[in-house]
Amino acid sequence: MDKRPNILQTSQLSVSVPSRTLVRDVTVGITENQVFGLIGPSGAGKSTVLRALNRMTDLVPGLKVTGDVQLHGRSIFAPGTDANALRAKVGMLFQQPVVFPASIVDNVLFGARRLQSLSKSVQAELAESALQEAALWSEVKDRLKAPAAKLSVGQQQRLCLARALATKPEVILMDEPTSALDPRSTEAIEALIKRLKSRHTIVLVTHNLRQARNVGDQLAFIGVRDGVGQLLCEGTVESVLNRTDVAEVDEYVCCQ
Amino acid sequence: MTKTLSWLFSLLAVATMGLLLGIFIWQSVPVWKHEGWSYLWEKKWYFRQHEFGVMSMVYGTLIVSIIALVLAVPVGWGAAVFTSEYLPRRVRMAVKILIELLAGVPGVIYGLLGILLLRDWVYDTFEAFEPLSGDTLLTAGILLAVMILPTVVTLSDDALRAIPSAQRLAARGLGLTRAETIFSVIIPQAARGLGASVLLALGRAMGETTAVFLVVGRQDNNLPDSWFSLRAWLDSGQTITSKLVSSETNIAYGDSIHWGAMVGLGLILLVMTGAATLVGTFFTRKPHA
Repeated sequence: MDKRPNILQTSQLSVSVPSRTLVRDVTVGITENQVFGLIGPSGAGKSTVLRALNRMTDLVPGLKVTGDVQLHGRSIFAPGTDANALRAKVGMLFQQPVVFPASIVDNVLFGARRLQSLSKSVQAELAESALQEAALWSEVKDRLKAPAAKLSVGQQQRLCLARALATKPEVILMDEPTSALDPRSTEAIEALIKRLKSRHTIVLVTHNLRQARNVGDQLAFIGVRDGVGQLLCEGTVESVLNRTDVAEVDEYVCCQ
Repeated sequence: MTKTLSWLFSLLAVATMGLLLGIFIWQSVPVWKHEGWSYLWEKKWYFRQHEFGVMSMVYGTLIVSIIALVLAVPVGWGAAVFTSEYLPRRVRMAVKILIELLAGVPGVIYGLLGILLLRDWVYDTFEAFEPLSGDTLLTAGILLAVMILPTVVTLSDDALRAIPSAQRLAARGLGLTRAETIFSVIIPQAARGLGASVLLALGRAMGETTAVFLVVGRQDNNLPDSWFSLRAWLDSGQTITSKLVSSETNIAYGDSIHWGAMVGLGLILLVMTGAATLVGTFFTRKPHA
């Protein structure tokens, strides 16, 4: 068993809307520098759990989060916590790439520029290193001022990754980051995820068991039981995918 | 069939517009013959002497509209940001319905309110500048500001709401605050729509008649030496609409030159409001969509 400390720890995390509970009592620990996968059927609440990890859940009116999430042992819901600073430290990549209607380089620096004022040379360095880290540099280095919307969808997703990386996050939350992409772009992102974990911790929601096997270190299965999403099992990738005693996992794995 | 019919009706719409313009040009021919281009530049309008210059009325229309925009646009944009970005969806709908109801209140009602509330207030507030009465260009401008406010708010709100919420989420996910998201993501993308709301509101302001008529003082030939004189805002004035709606229009009908001068005013107003509306509509369209 890994003895590194948990960078993220949820305890009894539940999320509900006024009419019902979406997901209940999720307690998981996420170790530093690993890829932690969240799998499970649609609608079980994987994305909801993911969004609670950087308090994106605050932005949905009516959503109520109970339980706790700790980053480095500190509750992210503690009074006085700056949720915006938290989101810069715990970055996010969405299903669909969302680029801003600006140039490639402006997109990369979008979040970083808000955090602190940067000199021109530092900005250029930061943009290059973030784009390098997102494996996009060689494709765009000659057209940094070109509109980001001109890039292919796969490139746009890597641009979004670079944009998140530019704020120097410790954790990157990825919500099915390849579901809108073609196989080649998917491959590129997966290779990236494996590389990024040397410096970041990644929480990855995926529908794709091949992807979970390929990039994941630890896995948590969130399934629906009694009409509520809950954590049904967790552990190493193989141990989770080979569980036959949990009916929901068995069914989910064999149906893919 | 559908295609033919839609062409036919489009053509009909264009033809109607053309016909309208044609009639106005044709009816105003006598004054153009009589005054030439000086009809546009001349400052004096004495119909008994057959002197027709529209400048002071164009001035009046522009000044009251500018006052209205200066007051209504910042408030309207602010309110739109509030309704679109801060209010929960349901409350936003309620507020929007209310605002649209306000837009439907007849101008004469606003005019009565203007007489009741605004005239004395302007007179008292600016007493130091010794206005002759409370019926001033400023009074009309303030009243117009209230009247065009719903237009600015509702069009700006639509423009802001048209920005996909994924953009907001992406910005918030990067750690931007709500205010930063609004200023660096939402407003830049909605800029064209926000601009269009101003131009369409300008079109409304220039064309508004009754309310302005009731509080503007309807003083002919009141053109200050400088167009930029602020003191002149506290004088009574005349706008194109307040002139046209006055009884002079009925008197004019018997005299082809006088009548032409009145219709010419209508033509100028038509061109001014038309231009604002056209540019405004053009603005709403995205350049590469």
